[in-house]
Amino acid sequence: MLVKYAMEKEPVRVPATAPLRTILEAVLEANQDAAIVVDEAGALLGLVGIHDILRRIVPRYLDLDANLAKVMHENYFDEVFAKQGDVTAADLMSKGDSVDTVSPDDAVIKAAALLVEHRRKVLPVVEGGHVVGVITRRSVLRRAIEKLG
Amino acid sequence: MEEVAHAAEAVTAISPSIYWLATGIFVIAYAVIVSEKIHKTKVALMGAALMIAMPILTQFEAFHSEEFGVDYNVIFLLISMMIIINIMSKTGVFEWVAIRTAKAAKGKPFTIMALFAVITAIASALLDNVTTVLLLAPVTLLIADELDVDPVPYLIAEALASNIGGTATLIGDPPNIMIASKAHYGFVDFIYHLTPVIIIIMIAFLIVLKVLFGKRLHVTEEKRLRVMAMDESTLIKDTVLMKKSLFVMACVIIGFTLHGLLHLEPATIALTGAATLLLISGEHPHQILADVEWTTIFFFMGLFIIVGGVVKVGLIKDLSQVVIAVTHPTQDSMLATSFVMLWFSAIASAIVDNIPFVATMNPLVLDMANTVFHGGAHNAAALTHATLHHEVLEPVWWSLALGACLGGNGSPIGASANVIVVGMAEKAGRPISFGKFMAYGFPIMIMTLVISTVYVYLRYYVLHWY
Repeated sequence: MLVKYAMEKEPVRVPATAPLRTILEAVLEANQDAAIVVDEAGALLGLVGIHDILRRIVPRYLDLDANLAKVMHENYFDEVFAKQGDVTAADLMSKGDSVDTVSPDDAVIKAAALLVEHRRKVLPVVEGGHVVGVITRRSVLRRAIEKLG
Repeated sequence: MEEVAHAAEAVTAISPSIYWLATGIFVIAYAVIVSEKIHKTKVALMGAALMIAMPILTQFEAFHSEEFGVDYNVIFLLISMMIIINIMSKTGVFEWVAIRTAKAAKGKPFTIMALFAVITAIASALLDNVTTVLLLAPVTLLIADELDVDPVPYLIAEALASNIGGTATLIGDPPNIMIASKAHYGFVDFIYHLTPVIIIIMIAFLIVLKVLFGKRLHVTEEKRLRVMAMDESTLIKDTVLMKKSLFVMACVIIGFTLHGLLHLEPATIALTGAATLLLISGEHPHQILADVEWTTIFFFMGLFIIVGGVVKVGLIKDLSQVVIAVTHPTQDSMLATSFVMLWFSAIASAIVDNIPFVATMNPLVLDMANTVFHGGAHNAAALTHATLHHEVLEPVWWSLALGACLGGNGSPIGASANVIVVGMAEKAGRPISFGKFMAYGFPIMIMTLVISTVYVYLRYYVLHWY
């Protein structure tokens, strides 16, 4: 099977200037795990995953000692989140060259391998420099279920 | 006697080409280590392999000789302490102590800084400096985050305190472990000779912190109360393991203080503690042993062999002659040698890793003692206790320890603890520049050296308190 038959054709697309609130509303409403950041011509600039958003709230020192989260005050998350009003897609996104992509004519196994090996949740599908869709863990498995009969 | 004759024969048989080959390997290895272009452990192991393959040292000498080979006292002491600390750090006890300390400081930012510096110094004296800052830095970042203050001064203060505290004991800093092994000093000797000056230095350090930060750090009552509201009891992950590891650690410390009476080397005591804790902890040895810092252990092994090579060809003997010519040590006084050793060791240790430096200086001091006390007639590695602990020589050993350990504060690359703190600060998004660290570290290093100089002078040359 090819990626073009398994991909979501209507990914969440946002400009680099999109504020965090807009990004969150769009991905939550579309029930997606990421927003694709594109320029005016539709070319891929980067990708903002919900992990990137959480990453911005969770302090880095917890990577060194996750146990410490137990003593942090209960409003920490809300307070830090409230300070993110000026954050845009450009601040949050993984840049284009660090984002794994696939082409519509790649085999789904290539996308599945990237999703598993690189622990991605979403891969932009790019054709001629433009984003034509995304392939996600769910979209791969949605097509796979048909094979189970 | 046979070993003495064998050593003398080995030195006299050295050809100039072998001398310069060994010197070349030594100089190039150290230069590459300083440049940090290639990982220091790779360089040390390559240098060691070349010393044996050329062959400058025989394999037997490299692996088994006390004079030229790997010092297994140091190796087993390091590995054993790492095992004990690895198990203990899994329990959450260090985080518990840190939060408890912050609450004891009533959440006041400067009091927290001062008390964290003190617990860092004490922990570094009993554990290794790197582990101490690795465990304390995340808690520091958390506290600073909750108080909404800049964590950088706290982190720098902890790195400096860790190097100061580590100087106080035999097990506190690797240079001391190496000096203890070569000079046959025990745990109590280090407490007796170095802990008093380290207490004075810590008091001076806290006064400097007070002057620098006492009035600069302010927090709101709300932020202070957040620290006071922390429930540190949730941080203990395994109470039973914590009790077991604290019990074993206490036994090991008691064992160190009694090792003269027990007639056991510190490495044996630490190994017994590590083996006991492994046995009673219920932890699988695979992960615990995997967490031992093997790169550091192999770095030591490689260095011992490289230095063994240049000891064998006579380079260290020649260098010791230079030290003798410059500082004129005699059987009556080594005042100038002590001061040169203190300051030169510190400056060198601020620039390069203090471990290769002390690995080189140890045989040099032995050779110098052999020349001054015995006209060079003995095997320098087999000097008697009476010579090694001669009251004229003693200040030189303690000056070497003070210089090599305290010199680490002079720059962000001067000690492993500094490198770790700078790295963690960067990961946490609060980078510490080279200059910023130096701005605090270098003046503090100078202050600690001035205090050490006065201490060495007064204690050994005025009061004659040995």
